[in-house]
Amino acid sequence: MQTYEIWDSEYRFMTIVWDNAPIGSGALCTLCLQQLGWKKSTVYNAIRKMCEKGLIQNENATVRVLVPREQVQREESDAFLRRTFSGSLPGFLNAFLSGRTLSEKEAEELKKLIDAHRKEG
Amino acid sequence: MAVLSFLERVTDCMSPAFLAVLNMSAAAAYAVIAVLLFRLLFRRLPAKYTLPLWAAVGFRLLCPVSIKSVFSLFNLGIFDMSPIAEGNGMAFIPYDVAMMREPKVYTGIAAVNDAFSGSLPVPDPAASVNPLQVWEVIFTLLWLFGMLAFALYGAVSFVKMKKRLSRAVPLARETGIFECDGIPSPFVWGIIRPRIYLPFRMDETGRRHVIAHERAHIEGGDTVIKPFAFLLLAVHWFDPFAWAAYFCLCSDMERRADERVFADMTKGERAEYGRSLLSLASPRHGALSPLGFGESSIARRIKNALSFQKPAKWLAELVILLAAVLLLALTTNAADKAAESEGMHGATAVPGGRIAYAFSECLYMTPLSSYHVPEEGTGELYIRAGSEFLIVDAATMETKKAFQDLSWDSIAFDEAWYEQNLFAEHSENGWSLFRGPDISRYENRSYTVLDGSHLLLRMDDETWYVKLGQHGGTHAGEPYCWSIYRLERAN
Repeated sequence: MQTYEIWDSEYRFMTIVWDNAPIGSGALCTLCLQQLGWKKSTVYNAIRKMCEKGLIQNENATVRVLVPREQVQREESDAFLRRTFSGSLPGFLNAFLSGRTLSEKEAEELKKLIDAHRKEG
Repeated sequence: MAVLSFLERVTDCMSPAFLAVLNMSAAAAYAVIAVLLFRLLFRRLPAKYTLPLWAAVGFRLLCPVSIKSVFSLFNLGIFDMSPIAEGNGMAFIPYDVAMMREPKVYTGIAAVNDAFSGSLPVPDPAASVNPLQVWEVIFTLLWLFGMLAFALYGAVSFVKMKKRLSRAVPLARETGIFECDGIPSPFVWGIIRPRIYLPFRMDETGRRHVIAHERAHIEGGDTVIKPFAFLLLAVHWFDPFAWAAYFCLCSDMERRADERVFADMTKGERAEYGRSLLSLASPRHGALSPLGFGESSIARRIKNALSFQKPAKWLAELVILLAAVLLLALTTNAADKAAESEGMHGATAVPGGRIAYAFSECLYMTPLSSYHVPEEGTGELYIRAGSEFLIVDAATMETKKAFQDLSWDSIAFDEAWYEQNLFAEHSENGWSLFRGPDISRYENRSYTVLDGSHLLLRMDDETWYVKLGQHGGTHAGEPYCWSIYRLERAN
């Protein structure tokens, strides 16, 4: 069985599609606005992306499911570890300012420090 | 050529603005140093006590003028602000620096002025272009391009971020909190309606701590302060003090947000908070951070969480008081010095700096002279600037004569001194008939020596400029009054 990997936010979008398909793209926009707060353009972007991945199809303004929920996995998008700044200023500054430059050894020492305090507290 | 003339017009408009920004940077640098020292001194205290002081730096970076007060830092003995004060502003770099025959800049500390001024190119009167004018144009353009780069970078990342956040999804039942793909760490976004964005799949405790931390940012107004500080940084991008201030301000805001969260926590809960911080700072992928500050700030934050203590009440109150005084000291300009030392030229309270006088009236001209001062005056400006007194051609602003290293000591004199020294009777030469203007109606009289043949007299609230001649014959070398001009304040 082929499995598909998608991002968390896409999974949330797909949940709405699975629950309601087949559904008109206009109605899908309304649902997404209610449940996710997404704008129309965001919804159509998501539809296009899911079509490209072959999860759904959008014909005559109707969205149909091609791949069932069981075959889809949420991608391990642990963004903490990924640190995809890709030129974003807040992301860059955030990392810059928090100075996440812990070495393995440093982290270990801090862990010990915290554990010592937990026992005390 | 069209491009060149456009650039010329731009720099004509923007050079004064650039000089104003430079002067604001200079004033702010002192504030930055003072705040950093204060912060160092009270580093054991919660950040909320030192954070408000950054407002002084922001004020200096934003506003070129301020009121004068006796509380000002610049009243301290090490500062000599007299050449700098200009009205309510401070001109560390004179606005006409590119026009000066001997360009000078001031630091506020007399001993180091020359080190800075000495590095400036001196114009060569024979050359057609003053090198400093060229530098002014080049630096103004660089400054503008730097700001443009900041604006572009800001705009591009804003649009990118906006696009990325458009597919964020609300966290169940919590308002204003969203989960989003592709963000490296949790943050708050938005000024008017700030929202908290979290990466997906945080563990429950970590999420609780992060939300509390981000809410503390919103409550503390950090979402407004940070973009504002960033704007100021964009204008002062060339100023290392502004960068230092920006990063310290940001780290202080982080610390204050942390401290708001664990102010009411028990020791054990604070250790949990520290553990959340640690889990956010994965050691595996930290190398992307482009610049390190030695001990990483996350480690500092964790240690802060473990050792946090509320300060004693008396200490907190003392620090608040000190901070208030320092705020006042950093945001106000030096008070005018007492009239005795400063008011030599005219009784109007004169701010330290440059005072310009124009010819008002010729009170006396020796009959030996063939020169008559024309009705419209001498065409000269008389400028007091720091320890100098300059005579400047009013039309070309070229310095015709400069008296330097003046200490401005003023010595009181009476009518006898006046007669004796300026209008001495040497009947054997037949010059006894010369009589100076009557000074009996003036109550306060004092003089300042400019050099061997020039004096300034202060007669109540008038300023007289006196040229001396020298006797010949048996009294060779003794001075007598050649001419007296009454000066008036010029604008």
